[in-house]
Amino acid sequence: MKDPDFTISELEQLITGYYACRLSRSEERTLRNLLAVTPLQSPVIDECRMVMGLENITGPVSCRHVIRNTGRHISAAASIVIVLSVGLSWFGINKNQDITQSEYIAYVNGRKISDPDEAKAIVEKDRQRCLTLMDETIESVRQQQAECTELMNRMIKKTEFNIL
Amino acid sequence: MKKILTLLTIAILSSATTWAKSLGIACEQLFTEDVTNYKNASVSINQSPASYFRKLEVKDNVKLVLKMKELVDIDGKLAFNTAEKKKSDGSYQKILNIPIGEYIINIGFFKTSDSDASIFIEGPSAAFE
Repeated sequence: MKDPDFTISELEQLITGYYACRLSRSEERTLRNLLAVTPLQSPVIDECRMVMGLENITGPVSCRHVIRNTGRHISAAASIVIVLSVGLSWFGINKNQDITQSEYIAYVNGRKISDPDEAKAIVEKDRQRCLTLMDETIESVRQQQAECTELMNRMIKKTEFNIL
Repeated sequence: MKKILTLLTIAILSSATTWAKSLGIACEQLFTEDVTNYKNASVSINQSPASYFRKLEVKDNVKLVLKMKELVDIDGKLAFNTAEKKKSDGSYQKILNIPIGEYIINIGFFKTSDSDASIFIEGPSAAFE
């Protein structure tokens, strides 16, 4: 980039290189200076001139800078996800740890029971019924299992006796 | 770049942990506002520092009874002990004992017909934290 007499196509090639981040820092500077002084005009040149003009307002930004910023954005996003996850976990744990007293909620046929004593009575009755039913079911299954085992043992003994 | 990857990995793992924690017991999915406000459903909930109890009773709803059975079967895979009883009148009972950490929770499903059933989840509160 030592020859200042560039043609439009050469300048456009340089601009393409600039957009593709192929230029070095000094080449970018040279291109900026060239665009500032050259009388050449084309949509691509004008657009690049405008972009570089904007860069001057907002401060110099190279393509590498953009890539570095993308990395920072990803880091920031990852940090936010971590903070949210930790926050949600903490909220989830504390949601259950906040129970310091018994809470009774009852709905009968879709209607919420507003009286706390009535709700408590319904829930306690339901709990007792469920636990009784559970015990009965387990006991019944155990009995059947025991009956089957006994029957099997009797059959084994009978078979042994027949063999003897 | 390594830092970014490390941060992303930690973020993904934390999210996965939070998600897994929130999964819990499949049958708990039944206790939604839609179900509690449903006219053919009765719900009982008790939560105290010592115990946790939830019960849902449904009448005249084949679809919901099927859903209950489906979720009980999912939770059944976690159970170390299962008691199941079928009667000739079509009724069906299933009890699950599920270990959660050092605790054991119980799930009971009692179906009296294709459209009527009840389900309960019970155990120490600490198991559900």
